[in-house]
Amino acid sequence: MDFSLRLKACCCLVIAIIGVVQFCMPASDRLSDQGCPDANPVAFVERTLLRPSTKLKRAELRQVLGVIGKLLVANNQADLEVLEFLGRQVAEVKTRKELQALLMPYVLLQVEINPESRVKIGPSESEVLRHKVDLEKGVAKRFLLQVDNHAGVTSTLNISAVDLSLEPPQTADWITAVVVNEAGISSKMSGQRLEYLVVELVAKQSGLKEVRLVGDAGQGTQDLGFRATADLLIDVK
Amino acid sequence: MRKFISLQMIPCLIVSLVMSQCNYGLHSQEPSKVDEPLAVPVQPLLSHVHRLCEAMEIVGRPLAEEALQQIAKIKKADDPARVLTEVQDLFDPFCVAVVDVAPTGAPKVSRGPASTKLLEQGWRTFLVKVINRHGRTGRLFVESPNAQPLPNAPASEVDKRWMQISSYDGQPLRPNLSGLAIEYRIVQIFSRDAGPKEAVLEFTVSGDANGDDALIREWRFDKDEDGWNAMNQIKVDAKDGSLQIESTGDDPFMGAEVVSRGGGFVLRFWAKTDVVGIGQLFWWTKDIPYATGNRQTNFILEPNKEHLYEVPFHVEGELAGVRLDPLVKPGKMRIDWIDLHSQQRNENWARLETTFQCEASTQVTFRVFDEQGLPAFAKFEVRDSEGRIYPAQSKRLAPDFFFQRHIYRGDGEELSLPPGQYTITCSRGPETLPEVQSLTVGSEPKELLYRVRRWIDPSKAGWWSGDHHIHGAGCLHYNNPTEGVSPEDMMRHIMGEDLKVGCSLTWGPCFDFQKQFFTGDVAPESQYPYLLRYDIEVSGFGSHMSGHLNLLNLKNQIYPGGDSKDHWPTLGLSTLKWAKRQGAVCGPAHSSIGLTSFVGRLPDTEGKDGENLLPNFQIPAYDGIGANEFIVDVTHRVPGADGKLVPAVDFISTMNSDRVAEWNMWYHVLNAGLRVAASGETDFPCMSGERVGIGRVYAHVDGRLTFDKWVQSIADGRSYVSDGFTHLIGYRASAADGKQVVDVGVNGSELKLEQPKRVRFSTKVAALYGSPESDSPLKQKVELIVNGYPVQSVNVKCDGSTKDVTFETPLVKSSWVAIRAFPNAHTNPIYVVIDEEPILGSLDSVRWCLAGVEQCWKAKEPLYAKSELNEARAAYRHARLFYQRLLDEHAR
Repeated sequence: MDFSLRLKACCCLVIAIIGVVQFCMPASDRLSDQGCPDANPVAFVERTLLRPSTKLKRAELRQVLGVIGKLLVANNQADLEVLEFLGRQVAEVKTRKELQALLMPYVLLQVEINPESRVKIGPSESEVLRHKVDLEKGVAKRFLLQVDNHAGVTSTLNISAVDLSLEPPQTADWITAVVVNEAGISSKMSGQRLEYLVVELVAKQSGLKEVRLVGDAGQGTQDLGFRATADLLIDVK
Repeated sequence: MRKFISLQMIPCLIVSLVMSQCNYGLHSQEPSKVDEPLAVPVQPLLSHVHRLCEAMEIVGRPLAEEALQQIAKIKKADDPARVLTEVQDLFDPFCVAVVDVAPTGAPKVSRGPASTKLLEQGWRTFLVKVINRHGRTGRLFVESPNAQPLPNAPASEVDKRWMQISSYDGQPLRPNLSGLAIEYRIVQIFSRDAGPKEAVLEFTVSGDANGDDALIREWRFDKDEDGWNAMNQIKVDAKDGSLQIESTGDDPFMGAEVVSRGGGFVLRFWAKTDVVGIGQLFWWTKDIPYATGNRQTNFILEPNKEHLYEVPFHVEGELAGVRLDPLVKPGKMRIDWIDLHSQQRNENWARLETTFQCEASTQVTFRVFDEQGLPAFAKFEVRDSEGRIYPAQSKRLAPDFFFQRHIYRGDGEELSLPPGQYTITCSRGPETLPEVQSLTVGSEPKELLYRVRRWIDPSKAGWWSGDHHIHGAGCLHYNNPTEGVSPEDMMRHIMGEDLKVGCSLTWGPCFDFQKQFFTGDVAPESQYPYLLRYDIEVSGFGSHMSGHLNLLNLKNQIYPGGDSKDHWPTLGLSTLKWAKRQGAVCGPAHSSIGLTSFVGRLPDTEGKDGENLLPNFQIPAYDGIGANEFIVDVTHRVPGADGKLVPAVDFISTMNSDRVAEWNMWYHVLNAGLRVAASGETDFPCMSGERVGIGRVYAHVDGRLTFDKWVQSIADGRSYVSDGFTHLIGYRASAADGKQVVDVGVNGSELKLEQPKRVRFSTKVAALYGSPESDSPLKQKVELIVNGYPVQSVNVKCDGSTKDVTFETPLVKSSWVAIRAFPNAHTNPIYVVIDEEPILGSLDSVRWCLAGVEQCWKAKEPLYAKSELNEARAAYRHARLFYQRLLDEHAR
């Protein structure tokens, strides 16, 4: 199956799952006609992480399917079958704890904003992404940012890429890292305690490389002492 | 096996080199001969080198300037083989060991070329070189039997346990190996004793393909209690993936069977309890199959938080079971998981025997005197001839802060240093002239004499420095072994920076611990004229999302209805009402946060932005925690201590966030006729951990300094804000005929005129950036600001001398007027009222404020509690009406 057909198939699958879930919901919980999930699945994630083992609500399920949909839509070179499988799994999970475990492999960075608005980021706990991130040259790949927002700020979360191998270190010209801001998913935080945003990486050169990702939530909000940075190994095929 | 990309495919350079540098082998295992080429991609290697330099700086072992220059050259080198060779040439000499990681099993370890000198009662930093051909990404563990704990050690072991060893795996390093074929890790070693000492260093890499073998048993509670049984006065229940424990008496315990050969173990479990006290661990063996009093160990409970408990114990005989007495009183605990690990070394560990030479340290006594010859505190940065920082930075506990290079010492206090040559930078805040001393330490005790030299002392004229926003907990402070630091520690830092008043604000982190230091008065640790007072910053709770609030001079620190922080209102105005009713002095913190991204520009204001964008008419997003709800609250008047209406907000915080944004907000509300003062803060150690008093306010006090008088001057605007290096002392205004004189902050800072006149404004200006002896001192532009715009200016040399600066300007309408030294200092305004007309600096500012209320409501409405929404709507409605009425009145 060529790529575009596979992409369409996967999109259809996610939409179908959303449809099935909606079918089981009260009408008031169903998606709007636009078919676009809430811009930020924040409320869902907040409850998910704060009370991890409680049962999952249908509306929450709908929101996380929206997030997965956002990963899928632009994830041109990702393993679509895996995401397809993930969609099925998500539709079947019963508890928030199970759901978190399912999402973790897609979390590139864990972001914590302390009550004083200092932004701290760290590599994912995901076994898949913790040691090395695989990209294909010139192909965008999307990941989740798990945001723990203690300050309740609603500003834009920015991620920038720095190449430390240069003298002096400067913006990496071989990779772009952008927090996705498009219909259905915003780069602005909601102010809720926990939420997921989506970050997109595109590498322009191949090889094993290291990049320093720097996070901020507005001017001068990077945390002190390298706590707003995460250094990742990127293997670009 | 790591896959490498061919040279044909990638621009990234691949290096091939035959490794000959592995043959350091002086002891123990020799690394095997390695013939195969070692391939290291250059870009990630150089990135690693950069991070290594950063990490060495953090731990207080910075590289010499020449080495840093060499690295800069290496980064620009074209020849990849040269890159790898030079990187190794540079870093290998720091290596205490070379670890050659095997695909599985123990690594091969040899001694590195580093000097084996250690420091008695001090830490030394080394590198470990890791050769990792197989791309393993586990963690490198470096331990030593000589670093076993002393409590409960057999008497025969005490002499052997002379050291401590720890790996630095924190940022910017990663805990795990990168998988690169070469990298360097940091280890630090402490010596208890002086003289030659034998040691065994042990190495392993986790994640072995054949298993790490250290894990004896893991208990998980997703399905059931997984073998844990209630034994006495306890209920045990697996629920929601955790073990829920409820003790019903004073001797609750539960047990589980587990079989292993004897030796050292550590029981790790992740738990949360609200009980204060201790827990106990017992164990039994095959031959004595029940718990006994001589086979138990205690652990301290960490109440009210999730915590990783690690309980080491040693079993004689064959282990048959463990008994956990999680609490020694009625209460509850939730345990998420329990793991039992063996401390026995298996075949995956390699040993390296070596000898260290531990240098005896010598006491150095600081003799510190202020400019009057009185004993004082000051700041010292101590480096040896190799640039190493003392005491070891990453190993510090209060009163020395690990996130600072310097320390603060008072007269007569000491520091242990090994014999050698030292460079010590001495200073005492921005009002003093720093000096650099050389110190040679031998085997005999030594004194370091520092006499403070000032270039200015505003307190002599009654202008007392202060920082209304510092913290003893949270941000860079640690939560363990203590929840933040003590008032004594904060006092040391305040005095060492010659900051006369420090407001240590209790906030979200460690709130329930730090709140004990609130007295409703200055802290008893204060030492006149240095005053410390504990108050509150609403941050991390309550109304924090609508903008943090500094609440100074509180009589009660807890909002009614509880005894902690979780019940506070989400509407900032409600908090302000409560605080003002008890006579507090209040204002928003780190004001620019939420004001630096924009949703648009106020219509019809093109070309009206002032110099330095002050003022400007971009409409902020109000999406942060600075002066956000401030735009609403500043329009309110609320009952004060005597029941009479007073402004809900006394000041806006400045000097620690984006200067344009914080001053822009201030200018606009002043232009709307609101009278609010500026104060100076640092928000230490959140906005900066460098030192307290980076942002300052100098408040004028009549007579002897007291906190009450000082904080009242903050509220009255009888002050100027400053970085401590520029001063605007004694700002006053007078009609040009000299008949009326008004000092800033006195009698409402109001100069009343019957008709338009020329008005004279004067202040004493002093600034120093660099040396006062400099032949080409910097110049500071000093401007007269009328209703937000500069109308006159002079340039003043930053040479430390004090100059009288006077401006004279005609005023045709009521105006606020201040003196600014952008971005370093600003006076509070004097309000010139002509013919009793209210001040309305700019209608555009009023429109900007009104737009701000609308935008703030958009941003904050979802963040207010539903139960407070009606009150919030009313508060915003009041603000809208306030600004709209100004527009309407002007239109009429």
